[in-house]
Amino acid sequence: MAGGMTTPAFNEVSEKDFQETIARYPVDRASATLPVLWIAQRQFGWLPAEVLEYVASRLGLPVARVTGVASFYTMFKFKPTGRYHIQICRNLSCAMFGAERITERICKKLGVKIGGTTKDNLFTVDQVECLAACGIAPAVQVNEDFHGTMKGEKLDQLLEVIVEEEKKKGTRP
Amino acid sequence: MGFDETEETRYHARAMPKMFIDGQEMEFRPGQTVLSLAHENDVDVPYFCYHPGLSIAGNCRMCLVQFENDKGEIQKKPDISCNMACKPGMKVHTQTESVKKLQSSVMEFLLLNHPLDCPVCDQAGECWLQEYYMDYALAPSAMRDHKTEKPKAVPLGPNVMLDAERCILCTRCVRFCDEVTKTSELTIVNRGGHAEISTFPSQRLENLYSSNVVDICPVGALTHRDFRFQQRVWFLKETESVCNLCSNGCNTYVDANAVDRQAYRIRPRHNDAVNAYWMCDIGRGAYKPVNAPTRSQHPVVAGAKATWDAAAGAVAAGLVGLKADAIAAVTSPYSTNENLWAFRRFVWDALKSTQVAAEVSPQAESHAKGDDFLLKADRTPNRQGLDAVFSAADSIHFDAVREGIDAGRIKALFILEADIVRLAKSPDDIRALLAKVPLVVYFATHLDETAAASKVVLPAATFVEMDGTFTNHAGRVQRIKPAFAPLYESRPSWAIAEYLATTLAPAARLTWKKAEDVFADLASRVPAFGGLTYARVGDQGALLNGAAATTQPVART
Amino acid sequence: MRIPAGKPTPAYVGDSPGDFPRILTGTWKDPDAWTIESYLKSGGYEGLKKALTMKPDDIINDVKASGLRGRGGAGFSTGMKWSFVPKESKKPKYIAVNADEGEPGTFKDRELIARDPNKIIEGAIIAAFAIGANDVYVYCRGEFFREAERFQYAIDAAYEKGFVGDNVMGSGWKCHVRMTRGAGAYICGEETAMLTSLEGNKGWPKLKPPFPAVQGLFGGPTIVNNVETCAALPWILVNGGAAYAKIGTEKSTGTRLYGISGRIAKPGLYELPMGFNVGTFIHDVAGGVPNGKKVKYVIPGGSSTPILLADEYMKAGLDHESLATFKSSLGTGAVIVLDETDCLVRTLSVFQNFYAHETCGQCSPCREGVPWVAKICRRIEKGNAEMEEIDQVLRIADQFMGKTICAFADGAGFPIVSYLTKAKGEFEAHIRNKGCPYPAWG
Repeated sequence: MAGGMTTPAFNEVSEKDFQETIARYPVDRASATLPVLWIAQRQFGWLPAEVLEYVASRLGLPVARVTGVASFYTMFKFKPTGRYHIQICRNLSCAMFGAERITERICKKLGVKIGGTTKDNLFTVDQVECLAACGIAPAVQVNEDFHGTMKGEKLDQLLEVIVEEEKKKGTRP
Repeated sequence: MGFDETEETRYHARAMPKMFIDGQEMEFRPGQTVLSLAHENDVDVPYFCYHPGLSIAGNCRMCLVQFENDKGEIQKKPDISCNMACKPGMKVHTQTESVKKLQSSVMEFLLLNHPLDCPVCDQAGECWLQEYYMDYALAPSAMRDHKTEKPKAVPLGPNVMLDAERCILCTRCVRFCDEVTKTSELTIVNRGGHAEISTFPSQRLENLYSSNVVDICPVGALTHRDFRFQQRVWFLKETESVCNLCSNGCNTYVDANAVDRQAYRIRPRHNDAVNAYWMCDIGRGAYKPVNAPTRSQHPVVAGAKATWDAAAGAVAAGLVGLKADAIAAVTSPYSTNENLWAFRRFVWDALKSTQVAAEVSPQAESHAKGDDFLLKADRTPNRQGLDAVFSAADSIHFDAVREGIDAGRIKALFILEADIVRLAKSPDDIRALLAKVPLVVYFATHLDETAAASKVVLPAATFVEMDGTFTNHAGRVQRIKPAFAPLYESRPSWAIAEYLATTLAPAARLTWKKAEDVFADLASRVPAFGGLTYARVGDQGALLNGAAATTQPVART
Repeated sequence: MRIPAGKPTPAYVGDSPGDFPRILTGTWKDPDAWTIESYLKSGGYEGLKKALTMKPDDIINDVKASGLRGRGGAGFSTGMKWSFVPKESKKPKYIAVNADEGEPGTFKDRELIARDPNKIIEGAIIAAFAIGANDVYVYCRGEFFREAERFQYAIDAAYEKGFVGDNVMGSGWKCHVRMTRGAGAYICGEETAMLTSLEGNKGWPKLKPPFPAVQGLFGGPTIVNNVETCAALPWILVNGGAAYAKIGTEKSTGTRLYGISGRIAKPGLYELPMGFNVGTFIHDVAGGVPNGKKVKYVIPGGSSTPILLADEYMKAGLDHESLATFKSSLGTGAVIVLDETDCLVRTLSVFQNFYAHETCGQCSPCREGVPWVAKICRRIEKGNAEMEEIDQVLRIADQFMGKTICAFADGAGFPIVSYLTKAKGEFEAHIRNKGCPYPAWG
């Protein structure tokens, strides 16, 4: 198995969610594909080949089909990303308030290209399309949380807060 | 699902509804699509993603046509004809300036990122982009930006090569694997301009029917690894034939270079009663033995090359003084009906012997299995024909031949196109048996084990080099046709039988000029074939008398 | 019942003038408006109660009479859409709630879900009852993590209180609600793409015909309604369609939760009656253009809507008919204001990059044409293009608009046609100057 991974399996939390999920889609188990992919990604962090095979087997679907479906959606990850996925909106209202400049600066500061991950695996920086937060542009999503009016140095400050918290947790020197 | 109607519905429609295409009134069948109706009436509507054996995808947009509304105005917004059900009184326009513009703009989009691979692409000469470009586009590319790059020359499995840049994402291959083989190895990954065909990384496209995706791919995205770079298709001539590697008798085309007399490729031919639009990967290789270096090229007598006359002389010499019961013969279910019948008449009427064994016995155990789709466990093409020509009343068991040889009574054995040494359970046993027979005459396509044990080897033509018929598992008699004249000095086995008969026993008056004459003779004497002619057999086959017609469409269960 | 711990990040919801019922935002001053307790206290689920006493046909007629039009962007009459569902059906019928907000400039559904999830659920259940469905599927945008939690909470609350389940409020009618989350694909906001995604596939739109109302989710008759459309239904049921029709204009009735962003002093959401004047909205309600700048262009309803010029927007009303006279459209009601420092060419380039990123790739004109146009727009913006490429972009757009499986290509094409027709000079200037004459953004 690539990446030294033994055959993956859902842990207790994931298994419980999985059972609840498929019970919600009685018509066709295939319709649980997206929710189950989310459960898998939440547990494994991303979707390596073994996990896709596992999801396919739990759903009773061909693995090629599940792969095709997962690869269609930008939020499903096919390579590991940093612990904090910084997603900067690049669409109009946010662009008008400097999304490109912010992206450039953050990338330079962290030493990564767009789509890249910092060496300590803490941050991945991406540009995304409209986050439906145009009223509080520029908008940035970090993992599941979403921040508005990230003008000027605000994003830098947010990253510093994250680094501080990680230091406190002992997850970062 | 978009499958074309079966013969059943065709006969059930009585008062046929009508609609108009380009002002011409046409009858249509309930449920028929506008595209299907157009094609049946020779109206030119191009398409890529539509396939009569697959569901409707509607993604290429090449079959866009214009419709009139209730007020008789041609609507500006076109619609695809593959997904539009015919309605009574509907009026469709397929040749307007607007439609022509649509066709050229779809072509522009499809060619936009298409690599200029024609010089190295196997599809050249049978590529739909090329064909349609000439008919519907003929405009230079207007794109100044770089074309999108995608993986090229990716082996998807043992048979199929993918070039993702050439792909127009018509999804025929994906639909085939989902709907026909139900194995779903292929998918489309990514989205938008980066979408491409793929398998799951560690999974290969290796189901038994994988090569069909090459046929249905309208462009050079999916090509066959055996055919890759082998031959330009404009040097190939297609010939209607039937596969000879199992009793399903899938209808095929043999593609051969008639000048070089070399077969390069076999593709399936449509027959709703036998194989629909498909064939298995095993049959694809059926052309390979035709041009193999092991072909029996000229007559051989006692290991030395001989002329036909000399060979006939050797046969005559070996038969001198022999009574009828000293002569025996063996056939097999690998031969055509014509070859079997001519051979039978030769042995019965020219040699006056009735000691014909239908097959060698005991045979090596076959572990071949059939599947739930086309492949049959019986890997011979004409067992039904053999059974009809050599019914139990007309043949003897091979054990009787063996006894006769062991007893020293049988002194001449004629073998028709069957490598009985290899087919037998104990090859040594058969070799030893043959060694006891002074005259072994073998009608051989290849210099195989049995040829090595035969006194006289007469070169026989393969199924690609002659007219003939095979009878499939369901009793359907189907024609094969020659892609080119027999190679070297080989002749169809029925012609060899005729030659020997006229040389050795002219009184028997066995003279046939062509295979069709043999078939006519067969049909006049064997009730199962009664009334059949080549014309009746046609290109879709005809059932033996007494065989039940099938009502199930051909599909994987 | 899980009470979500996280808080969604709120948008600014501003005050709007005028004496009209605040159908959508009336309870929003209360920060707990999203809780079931608060919702019930302010009259929540009265609409459903009323609906259960009516005949489904009467509900459909009342919604028709209300003039409610789809709030997802297409603006089709909701009542008429419902009436396309066949009365008898071999396959079960479905309501699918489209919470996959993604049209650039639009942020109203996120807020509706965060602040008033119960109202949306109630509306969806009413819709299900009206068309004879027993199942509601909610498709919530994947990025809306906190909002989805509130949706799930509202669903759980509805189960707890008996507003959904095997016996809805003792009526004997059964209705179940489930939520699926998307995973980052704008195209899944298209009706049939949403349905194929719900079925567990790539978000590829379905061929039409058959239309979803006849053959949709799992092959059964399906109505897809936007979140904002659902949110209007409880009020309509309680107060009657005629009362709703009194608000707004004759053909565009009721209120909308308009969004405004870009060069504006008070960007955010404002509930206003349909037909509200664009100029008044910008200058009087939302604080006008800051820094002493002037309006140069107005995008009235999200990226797919044609622009209004400086001399047009003051005369336009935020409804379907008025904007049509300016060759524009209402779309999602998401206004974006550009001033004289904003580059329209860059704006088009941003939008075309968006469409190129989001095209699903199913059909050839969109898959090939939309990214092509984006490439050319990028070059025009940098001044690295030929003059004739302006017309070429228009030609390409004309070639993919109206030729595809869904309206995505049309959405991509509308801004192209609009900007290159109404403001061609901007594009010519970029090419002539071999670069952008406007300052960089931010």
